[in-house]
Amino acid sequence: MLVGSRVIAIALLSTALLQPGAGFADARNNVLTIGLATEPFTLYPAMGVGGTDYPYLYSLFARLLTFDPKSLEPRPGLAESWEFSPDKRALKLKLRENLTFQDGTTLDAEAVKASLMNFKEHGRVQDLEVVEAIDVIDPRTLVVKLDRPYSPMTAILADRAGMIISSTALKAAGKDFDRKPIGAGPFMIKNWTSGSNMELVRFPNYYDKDSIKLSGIVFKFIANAPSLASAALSGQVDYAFGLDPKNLPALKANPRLRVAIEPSLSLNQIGIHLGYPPMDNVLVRRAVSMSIDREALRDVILGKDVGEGPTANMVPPTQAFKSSPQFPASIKYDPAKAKQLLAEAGFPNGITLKICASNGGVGTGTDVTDIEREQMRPAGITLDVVVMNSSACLQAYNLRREFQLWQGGWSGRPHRFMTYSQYFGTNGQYNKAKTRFPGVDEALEKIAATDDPEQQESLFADLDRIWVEQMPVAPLFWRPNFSAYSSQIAGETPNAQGKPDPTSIYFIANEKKK
Amino acid sequence: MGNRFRIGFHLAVAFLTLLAFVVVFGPALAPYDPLAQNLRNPFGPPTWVNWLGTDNLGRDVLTRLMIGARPALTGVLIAVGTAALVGVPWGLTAGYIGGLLDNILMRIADALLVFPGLILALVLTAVFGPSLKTSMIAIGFVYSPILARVVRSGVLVVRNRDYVVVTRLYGLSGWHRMWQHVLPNAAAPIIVQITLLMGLSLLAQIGLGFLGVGLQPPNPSWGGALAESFPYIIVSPQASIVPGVVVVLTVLSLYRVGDELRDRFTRE
Repeated sequence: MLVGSRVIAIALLSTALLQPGAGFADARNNVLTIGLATEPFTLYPAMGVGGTDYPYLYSLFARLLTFDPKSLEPRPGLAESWEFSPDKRALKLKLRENLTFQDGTTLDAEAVKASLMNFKEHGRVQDLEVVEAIDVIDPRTLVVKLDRPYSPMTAILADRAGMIISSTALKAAGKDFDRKPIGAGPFMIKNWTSGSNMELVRFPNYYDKDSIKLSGIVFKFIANAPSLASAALSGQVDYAFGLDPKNLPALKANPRLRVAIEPSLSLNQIGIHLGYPPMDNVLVRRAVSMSIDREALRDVILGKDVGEGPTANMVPPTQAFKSSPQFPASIKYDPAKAKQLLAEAGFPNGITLKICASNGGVGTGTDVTDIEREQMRPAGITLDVVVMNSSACLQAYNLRREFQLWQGGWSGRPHRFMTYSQYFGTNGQYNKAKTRFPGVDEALEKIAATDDPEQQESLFADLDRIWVEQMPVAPLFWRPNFSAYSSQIAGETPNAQGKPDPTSIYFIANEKKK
Repeated sequence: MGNRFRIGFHLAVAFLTLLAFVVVFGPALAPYDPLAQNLRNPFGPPTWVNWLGTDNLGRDVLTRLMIGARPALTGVLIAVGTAALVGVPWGLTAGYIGGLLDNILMRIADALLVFPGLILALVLTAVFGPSLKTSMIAIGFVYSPILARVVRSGVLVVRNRDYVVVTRLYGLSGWHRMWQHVLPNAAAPIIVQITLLMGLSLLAQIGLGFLGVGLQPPNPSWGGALAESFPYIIVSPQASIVPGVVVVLTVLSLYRVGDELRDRFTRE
């Protein structure tokens, strides 16, 4: 009898331990476990540039403005209202009442000013370079003065620059602020173990606390794609983001998971270093672009007909451009024409181009360059591929000019203007050679000076056309997000930008109990 | 039992002979261009057209395994050659001269053996750049202390034998004595160790190739084949099986030959 009881006890214990989610997914404590492939380098918004940081940043920081998930139109955040001056050179913001940071200090107009000026002075992304001054009118009101008409400022304040940090905490923490930031977002950092996980706990005084159902979030860093898929399949995580699409069939077959292919402004690209000859020659750049079969590449990397398809533009093109004959011509695989362009550029016998690739993500490594190499061969282009880790690759490409090309991605921005100005403007952050493209700076100025959608659309159509003529970068295909959610959770709100905000998610069972 | 034992050895020799044939004649006999892609037929099953199926880019698996055999075994020879070039003089000097020099040389060997071999090889490859030659020379250096210790043990047994001592009487120099009389008579365990190191070197090469620091793509390599199939392990696990089986059979064959040699030398 005793033996039989022991056997039953062992069987029950084993069954309990083998339940999906045992050990990590913790619906009873209302803590969501999320699996992601990338760990942030820093949690200090001004110091980071990674598009994959946003799930962490949205959880920790409240922004001055947010955006509608579908249209990306600005919505209230910490600022309950805003108003541009008629000349678009001043933006007045009215903050909500009784705002506090996670350390209990007051979040008022002075604190917002300090945060914005800190980003302007120290931010690695130059989104606030147009800010001339900030006037504090009263504790809830401030005016951001701009050195030129700049209607995209609302989109910028819905992005990194608008993530308000406690400057008091920044001064006190110094370098530790990277790992222990203080913001005003729905969650606060509890613990961060590099290479393993990050734990967040609920901030009880968040301005919109009623919309937050979770008690905490645990981010698990799972860089290896099969391991991330396995974690979702076994229930070790409730939500897996950034899955490799190769594993979707196995995930879809699991009845405990909901698989979603979510919209995104992300794309895969071949970066082109305009300062490294012969990439300063537009004929060579267009030859590179024409020698890639984007559709075949997309079919292999993502799956047949997955996502919005091939693209030669960095932003979703305007309807006017999509309807023009230039659009299909821009994505057409034409190695014969590419060879002809190379001959016109002075390379009748072909050319060898050095490209840096990193096997850290989907479509940024040899999974793509192996295919591109064969596709480009008929055009006379030989790819000399070097594989490094992604930060070493970027340094070698951006800072040391060791490569003419870079196999990478782009995570997108909430406003088309931001992408075009950063890549296409003469002083754009990613226009390392400060190349002046005809008509571009003028078009950008006009877009910034108006918020009339029709005027902007017409100007963007011009930029779309100039882009494919000049090809400063060779975008390849749009890359949607591949996510898997446990059937125990709901409430996710994927946004068109493709940078998920997990804070709206909740456990169905816990909500039903209330 | 003796017959079963021998059958394993003969099978191992037959497999290694076949491999050697493929290494020499493979590029001429391979059915397809190893780089030719057919993106419409990824992970195709074995057919009369593609006997072992196709990989993630529709390339013929049999062709890539055949072409990949040459760098695989060339790499093994580089690694073992490096280990021998470094390890044999090291162990011979330590064992023959003895004393303080022996202590110093063996403590260096002990220190190197503490490091995880693959990590040390990775570091060396990272410093000198990823390539088959660099990675296999690095592996050779990592394994050289193992060979040095085996050589030293053999030399310690042989150096005081009569046929060695008598060479002092007719004035043979120490250098000649080491290389012409001591080493050849201590060769048996060295040969056995070398065959075992060949198996280890192949596994290390596959590991480094999997990590991306061996032969660079798109050149076919056995480690690269495993690396390319790994992202698909959940949805297409069979893609890892064929290259994995080839590696296993090669390593087992090398070990089996090593075992047989060891047994023969022991009987003698």
